[in-house]
Amino acid sequence: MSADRVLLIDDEMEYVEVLAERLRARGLEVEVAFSGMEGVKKSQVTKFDAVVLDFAMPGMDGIHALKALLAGTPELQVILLTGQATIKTAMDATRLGAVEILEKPTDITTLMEKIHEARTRYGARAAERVRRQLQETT
Amino acid sequence: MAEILGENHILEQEFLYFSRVLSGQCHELANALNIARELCGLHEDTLPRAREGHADAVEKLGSLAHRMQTQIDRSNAIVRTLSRFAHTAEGTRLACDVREILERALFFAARQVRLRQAELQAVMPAGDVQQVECNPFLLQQAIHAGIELLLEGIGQSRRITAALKPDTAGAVVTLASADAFECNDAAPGLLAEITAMVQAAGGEVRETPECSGRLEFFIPCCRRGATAANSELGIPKGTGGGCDVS
Repeated sequence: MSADRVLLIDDEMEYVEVLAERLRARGLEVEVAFSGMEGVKKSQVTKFDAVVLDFAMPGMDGIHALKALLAGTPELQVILLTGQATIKTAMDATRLGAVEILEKPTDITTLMEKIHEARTRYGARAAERVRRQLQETT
Repeated sequence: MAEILGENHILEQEFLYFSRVLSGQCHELANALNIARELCGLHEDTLPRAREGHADAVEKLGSLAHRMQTQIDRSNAIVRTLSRFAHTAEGTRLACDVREILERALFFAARQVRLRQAELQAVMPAGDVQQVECNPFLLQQAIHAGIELLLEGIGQSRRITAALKPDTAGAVVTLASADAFECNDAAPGLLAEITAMVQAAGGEVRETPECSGRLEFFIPCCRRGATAANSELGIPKGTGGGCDVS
């Protein structure tokens, strides 16, 4: 089984780089993006099992990035990792399709578990979509 | 009644500014602490290999300590600046170091400027600037509001310059966008509010060319009375929100 492939999107460069290094040390394939726009572009050329997304960022913020990510790949598993978690943020993000809302700081083991769960869900949803498409064509 | 409403509005604006500064800086502090926490985690991850004597891991521990120190210094700068800022909310006109007031206002505005994908450049004089007499809290608030106004009208340059110049009668703070625009179109009513804030702070908006994307605040130099007033208030040198008693 191949490694979980994850994209981290956060404008705090040092935070993203350290987190990426810790996840890589645990066997994950990690790419980083320092803005919502950069993240959306990367998700268009590479298939990720999960995206870990910050909320407050310059330019395209987390909510707009979430919309753009899911517009390209509806099954994409987006985990919002934010220091500004409010009930409203959580509700908005969940309504838009985020699969998890985690508040910074998050334990690395918890984040690993959520990423792994996201991958499992992604596979199941993609399989379901293919099954439906096959049903429609037969 | 109108006076009471006016006064309430001013208090509301001051409270809003205080809240915004606090919320923005709490977020910045949390960012620094989150990075420090992850660096501690990376330190833990690296330790077993370092204990086995792997040279690269030992070297990495040294670099991690340096990176943690950077975040601790960043956190300390935020706490120190917030503490000085809190002392300026006493609502008094004092003998002040205008350079310190401007630097603090820019420190707080930096996050907002970054989130708007703009750049803030400070141009400070090389030599000393004589002390001015003002309400430091209101002057910081006016500078912040001035930057907000410029951000509303900013164009493709995405650049704002904040400059301090000594003047024979005091000091001049200039906030300018690289793009010319109509201030009242960018943020209706804000220019009038800024003018009122600067006046209440003890200064004046010297130049308000409506379509230049430029603001100039003049703050008069400190009279003996202000210095004496600081002493009467029991404000020792180096406290009172950066307002030193000479």
